[in-house]
Amino acid sequence: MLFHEIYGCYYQCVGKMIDLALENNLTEEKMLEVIHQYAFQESELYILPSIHDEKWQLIDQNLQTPLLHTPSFPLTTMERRWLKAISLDPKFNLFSTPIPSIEEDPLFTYEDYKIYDQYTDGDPYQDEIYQKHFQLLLKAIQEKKEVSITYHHKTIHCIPHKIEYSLKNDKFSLLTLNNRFYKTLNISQIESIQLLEHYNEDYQRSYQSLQKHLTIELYDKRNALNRVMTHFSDLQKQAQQISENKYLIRIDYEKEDENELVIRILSFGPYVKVVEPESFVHLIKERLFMQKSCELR
Amino acid sequence: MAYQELIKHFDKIRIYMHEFYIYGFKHRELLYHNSKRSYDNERRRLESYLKDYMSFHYKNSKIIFLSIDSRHIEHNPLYLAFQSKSFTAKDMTLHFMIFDILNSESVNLSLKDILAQIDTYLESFQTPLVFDESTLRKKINEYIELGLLQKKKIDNQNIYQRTKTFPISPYETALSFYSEMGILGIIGYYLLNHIPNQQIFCFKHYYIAYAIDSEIMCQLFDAMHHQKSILIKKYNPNSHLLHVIPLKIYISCQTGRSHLLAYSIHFKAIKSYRIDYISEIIYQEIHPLFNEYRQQLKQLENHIWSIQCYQKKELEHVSFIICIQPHETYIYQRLLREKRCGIITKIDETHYRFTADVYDTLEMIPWIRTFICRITQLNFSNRTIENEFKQDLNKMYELYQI
Repeated sequence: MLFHEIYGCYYQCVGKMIDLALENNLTEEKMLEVIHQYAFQESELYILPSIHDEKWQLIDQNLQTPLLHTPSFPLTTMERRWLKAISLDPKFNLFSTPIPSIEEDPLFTYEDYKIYDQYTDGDPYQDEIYQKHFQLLLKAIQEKKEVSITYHHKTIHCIPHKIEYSLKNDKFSLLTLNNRFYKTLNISQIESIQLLEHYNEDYQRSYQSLQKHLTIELYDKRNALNRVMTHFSDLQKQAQQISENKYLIRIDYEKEDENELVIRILSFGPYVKVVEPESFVHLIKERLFMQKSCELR
Repeated sequence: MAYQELIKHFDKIRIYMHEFYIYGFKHRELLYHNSKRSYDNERRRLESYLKDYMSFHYKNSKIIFLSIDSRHIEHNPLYLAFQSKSFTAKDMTLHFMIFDILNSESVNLSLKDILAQIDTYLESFQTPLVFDESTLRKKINEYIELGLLQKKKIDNQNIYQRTKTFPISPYETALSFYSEMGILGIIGYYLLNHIPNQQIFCFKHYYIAYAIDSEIMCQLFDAMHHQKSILIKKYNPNSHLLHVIPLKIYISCQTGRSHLLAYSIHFKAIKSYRIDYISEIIYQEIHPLFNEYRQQLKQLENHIWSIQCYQKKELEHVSFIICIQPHETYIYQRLLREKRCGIITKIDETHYRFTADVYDTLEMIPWIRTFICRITQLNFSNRTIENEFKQDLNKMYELYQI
């Protein structure tokens, strides 16, 4: 059962508060801090009175607890079965050592599901060099170390920021922080990696990418509205109904994904028209113009 | 009833999450379904759960929407809504007390012993709650069912202990990844809540809305695991209960949709059902032909482009030629990696033919359109779809005045 109170954020908050009470460290401020960190916007209106009124008899009015141990719980059967299921994935070895034997059956196997439109040239997860590079990058990010990478026969010094995964491409990339020429490196194309010194943490800042946007006009025929809105739900977007069957949708995207976005827009055919910016309209027109010259009859 | 932040059932919030996240342009009048108060309550809850992600704008009336760039999030924010299950004061109190008493695998106690210890704990409070044996037994049985506790019989007496501890800290990195990219990643998110963690991954082409349907997906896996048939109830009030044998879940990483492929008892054929349209699943008996139907699906798979298989219809032949210049090897690579079935043949230095036999040509159209600018020939056995494709191209020329 997925939707159960034991996984809820109220239970999570109370667990943290009991822990603090056991250390004699629970105060009103700390309770608020815990609620703001782990629960919802309005949760303090419900959690605090339940503790003050001793409705949940775990922490008394003096913010002491009669319990004796730091809250800890075994895993549920569903959690154990899920762990077993993910451990069957060929990527699992990249992240950790194998999971010790779990008696129960996996929650799902490859017989139960299929990602039918994933590209077939994914990264070589069983390749030992690939695995070694991946683990070195994990180490560098965790330990905040700079790296020297040989990539396409060039040596690149950079701060590794995050590892990005695309389910569609089934590939991992390294996002770097301080190299404006190599912001994204395909991990499968890395030739060698060397860990360098710790970098100054002040340098750590959010990853900047060039954001662009476009606006499309959508004519809702053959369920196009649902298809378009679901298809672009991985991106930030804002929709507006302009007449009975017409909608204007603004989609934000990253500059480096522009070509991919042209293709995604074209896949909807005449149900979607790009109205701005002119530069994007031009990209679509260019392809249509070339198509017209193919003289398809 | 006064507004409560927590909820007993997930179904209503699931509908509103779909509306606010997928569409995001509907105002209160279009969304209140059965009652305006219900709309106001669900909206308030979602604003509370997803405080940092809800936005609104005005166009005659207030329009609420959820807009998230999934490339810039550490964890799927929609998971938060799953942490909103309501409970009673006794549930909360017993939960922490039981695991405090059974604090390690070596502690084995009877119901009476556990109850006595609970009573000792309760003495610290001004008006102690009262628990009888039956309430405690019910809770303990629930936890046995969840796999948190186990029961043993010693000297004719039931003894309870916690199940084996499983340290999850060594798997932090794997959990960070699979909590987002794994099927039913919400479970990984629950596990991560137990340990400090640093998210070192980010994700592209990430359709976070799958999370909204996690409960349904979990029940489907459960039914398949037990080889049971099920009754499917859809949101559409005009739809009847559908009796099917679930065979496989088809997930798209490009369209944001997922479907159940199941054998329909009524139609006597394998059909597809959109998972976000399913409102409820009712388990039926174990079906003796489960493996046979699954085997049938396996044989059909080579001709399914996305999710459609019309077993009773003839296969449709699809063929098209595209122009690839010698310096455009990446287009050839695209063909190779994106085709899900079919073959590619080189015709001459600059032309390649793709051919496939599929159950539904229509499903291939969006993909074929991605090659617009280089399609030189089409040959579909389904002439209607071929003509529509060409007409659509003409409409696009008109739209952009070409």
